[in-house]
Amino acid sequence: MMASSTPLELFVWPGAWGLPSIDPLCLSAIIYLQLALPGQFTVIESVNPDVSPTGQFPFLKHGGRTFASFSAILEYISTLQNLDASLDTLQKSQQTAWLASAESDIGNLVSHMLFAIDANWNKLTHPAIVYDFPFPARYYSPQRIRESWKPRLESSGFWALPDIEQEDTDSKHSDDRKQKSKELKAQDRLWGVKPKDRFLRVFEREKITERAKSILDIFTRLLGDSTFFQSEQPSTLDVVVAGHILLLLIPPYPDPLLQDLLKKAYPSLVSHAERIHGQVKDASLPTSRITKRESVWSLLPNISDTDDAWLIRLRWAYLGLTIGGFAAYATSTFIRRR
Amino acid sequence: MQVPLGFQRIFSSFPLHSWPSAPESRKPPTEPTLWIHPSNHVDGLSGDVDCLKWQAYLALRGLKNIRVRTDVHPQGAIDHRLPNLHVEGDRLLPPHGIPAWVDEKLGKQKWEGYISEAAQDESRAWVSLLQGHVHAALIFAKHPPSLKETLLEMLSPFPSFTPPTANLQSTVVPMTGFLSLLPPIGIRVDAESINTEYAQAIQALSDRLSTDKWFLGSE
Repeated sequence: MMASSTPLELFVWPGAWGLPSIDPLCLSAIIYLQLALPGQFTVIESVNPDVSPTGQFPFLKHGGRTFASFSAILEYISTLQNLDASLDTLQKSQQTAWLASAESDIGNLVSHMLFAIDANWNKLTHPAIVYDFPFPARYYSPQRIRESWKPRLESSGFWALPDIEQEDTDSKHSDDRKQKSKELKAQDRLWGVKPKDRFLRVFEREKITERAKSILDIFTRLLGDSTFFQSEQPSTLDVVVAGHILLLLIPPYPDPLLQDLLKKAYPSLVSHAERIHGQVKDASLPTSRITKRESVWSLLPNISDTDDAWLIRLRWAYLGLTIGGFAAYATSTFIRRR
Repeated sequence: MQVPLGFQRIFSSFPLHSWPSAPESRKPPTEPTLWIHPSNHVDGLSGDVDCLKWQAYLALRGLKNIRVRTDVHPQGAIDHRLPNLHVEGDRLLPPHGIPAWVDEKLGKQKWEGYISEAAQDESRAWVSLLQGHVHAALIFAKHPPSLKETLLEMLSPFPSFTPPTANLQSTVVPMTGFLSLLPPIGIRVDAESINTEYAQAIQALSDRLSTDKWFLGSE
């Protein structure tokens, strides 16, 4: 039962490629709401995560309250409609761990494909979001968002070197292979890639594929021959894993490194994700988009209301430094002129 | 084109002082050496969660004669992160390379010592939970955002290496925001979500351990 008559508003990254959001947690939140509270929420697309209390999407507003992390959203929605009602204490504790693993490990695979591989970033992810940003933010914000993923992907070993296209050894025509070889050599000259570095980068791609296999193998074994992970009905874990797998499966990646691996070697995970997607994809999804009238304010540092005393002190400190510095400069200029 | 004579006279006075050459680098260690963050304790255990974890891992796997170094700054480590393991052959291993080295030394345990493959898989999930939500809360408690540090970073023309607070959440959210005209400065951290996720993680760990002595039925 809904606790309030006001609609639920879920703020997410915009959708693309036939999916309602390009972010795996946003997509998981949408699927979760479609299963738990179909037709009782609105999706609000935005490219300004600064409006979120955490600076990240998704976040949820309902009845004057805001729930700003993915786990806080799930916890609140479960008080309205609980997808995990049939799980016992042991299963719920295990689910907490598996959710962390899905968000972290499969999330690294998705982020690697969207942000780390240059061909995918330049030809897929960046074009999908750049024109949603207001002027002039479209010239720097997408790159900042990409850079924000770098520490996590570097520490997990998924921040790859620039991609290289594999030679098409399946081509039966020697002319095609010669043409492809010329294109690859031109690309290497453009990127300053030496032949030995090219070999190293192929090796890096193999390492990433092996690590992806170890992650996907675990979830394949967990699913086994079952329809869903933990019970006869879709649970939160099914939704989160499906949300991540769909973003590996559906986007038309120019460099489909992990997508090909998923399709060839993990049919059970693909079927599971398609099964969950099939339950919700035809349902209507009221969606609106934050207008660009906010574009001017979005260029300033976020000054939305916050209860965070630390953030408030920092803002006043920054303002004080700015005014103090300006006053010192004006005073010294005045004194020199006298 | 020659340097003008006046500049030559100025340059000729440099270097003002020559320091003696740096001592030769240490010989490669004869025993494996774990580079860790120091601690205030005298028992040799690191005060850093990651370093302590790997110290425990090496101890529980039964490895002896592992030396410890606490004088290496993280900027000297692989990817600027400790711990690193310095082993024979003058190889330096990052944290994710340590299990493979231990398996080389001791032989690979079936299912890494767990009672079944399912338990081994589940352990991965618990490790993700610990390294994510619990670790973030520990870092936040140990390195709460400091007004002084953030202001100094704002004023500094030189970028600092990634601070510990960069590991608090999935992405590094700048304090100044992604869309603002100001360059990204500082890191925005939501204390409430970190503490909520930590509470959920600890509850789940407690429920999973229940009355068992060790996790996942291990002995």
